[in-house]
Amino acid sequence: MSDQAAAGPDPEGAAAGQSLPASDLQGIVAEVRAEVEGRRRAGAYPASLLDRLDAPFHADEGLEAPEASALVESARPLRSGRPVVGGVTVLAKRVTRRLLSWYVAPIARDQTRFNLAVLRELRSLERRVARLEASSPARPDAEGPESRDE
Amino acid sequence: MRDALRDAGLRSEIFAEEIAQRLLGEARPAEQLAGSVEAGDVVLYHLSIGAASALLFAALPCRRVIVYHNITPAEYYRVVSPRVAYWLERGRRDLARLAPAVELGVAGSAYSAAELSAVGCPATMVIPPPVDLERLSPRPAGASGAARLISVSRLAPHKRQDQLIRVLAALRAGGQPAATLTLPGGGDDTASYVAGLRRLARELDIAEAVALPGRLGDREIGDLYASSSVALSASEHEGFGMPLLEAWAFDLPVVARAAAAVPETVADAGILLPDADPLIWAAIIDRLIRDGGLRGLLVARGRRRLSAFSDRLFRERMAELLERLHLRS
Repeated sequence: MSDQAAAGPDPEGAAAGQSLPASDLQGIVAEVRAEVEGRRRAGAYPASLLDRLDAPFHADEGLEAPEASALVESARPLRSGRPVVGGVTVLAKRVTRRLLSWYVAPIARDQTRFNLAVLRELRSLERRVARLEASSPARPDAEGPESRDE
Repeated sequence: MRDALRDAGLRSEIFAEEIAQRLLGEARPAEQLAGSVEAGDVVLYHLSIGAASALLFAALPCRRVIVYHNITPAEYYRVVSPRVAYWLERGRRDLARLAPAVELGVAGSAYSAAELSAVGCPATMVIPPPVDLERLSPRPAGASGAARLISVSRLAPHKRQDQLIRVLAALRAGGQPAATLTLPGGGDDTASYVAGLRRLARELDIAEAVALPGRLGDREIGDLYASSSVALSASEHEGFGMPLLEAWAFDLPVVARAAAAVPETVADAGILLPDADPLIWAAIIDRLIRDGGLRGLLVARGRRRLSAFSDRLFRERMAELLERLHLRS
């Protein structure tokens, strides 16, 4: 098969779209599925491709961008593994948290707003630097007027 | 929703825990809510994640309605963001506590309405969310050259952008070696997932064909749709699926995972796949790109399906809501 550009929508197909039943699409899916299964059974797909497609996906654990900690929360999970005393402790903390929430919550919100504003500016600068670097790769030492188009 | 209520002659205000800078004049702080309502007032609580406001809502001495946008299962976030997982779990607890105590539950889809009923909500109705596509300046997409795939949404584990990267690898190995995939969307809470996506693209040797431009403005999103060939959604959990409508507005054919509320939103206007096999996804996309008749059929159905979410129909459903609540201006 060769690479092929996207064909424009066919007006006849558009007209047909008003009347064809949804099951036609299910039929197409079933047909394509059978083709793929047939090719798979016939070994038409390279083993290296199948291996790569089956490789497990892992989120990069431990990597935490600043955005992940920008939101300051005044209410955190309260847990205790200690029997009996643990329940009382959690209850006491919950009451304390509730009593202080009128004072703490607005501070947390203000801090979050500030954090997000700073991050927005940082990311904006990051994009701007990337654009500048991409636009003048051959002249790393050149210094021109700053772009103000952000 | 607030505008529709006001247009119906009702006094309506928005209260929120967090108010974005651009909406400062549109909403009031949530802590002002309790002092602002009277017994005959109706408060609509929008629920999509846990929030301290749930306690406030539960204690309000007035009529109460939940507007349920659905809640992503917390399992998806356990590794990527334990903090978000906690708030999602808390959202489920809020739902279980609040739903039986409200007068009515409004959901964006029958899928979400069924969840409301399952936790004891006494009555439900479905109002698909209001749709504002003009902000994207929709026009018929006119991709030329290589196949250009697009999937617009937050970069998050349940959206399964990792699956789409595998699909692209399969597509490029088969009939469309120059195909590209653009995944616009923010990843503020999912940085490790986004890093994993970049790593996967490198491991599959298609890093140069996968674009992760981050969160973009409406104009940029519109431009991307307009230069695409096919819109994809591999999401395993959607309460509605707004990007599907956006794709239809640009005359893009849609291929989506048949999960959660997606089949209900798509109906017959897209190709729905029950599983995540990248080879099958790639073969379907390849067929779609080569077959102008099939594309035309999907584009026509997309346009028709879009009309089911018009502003007029939204306002009709809002009028039904007011009728059910016996609210008059």
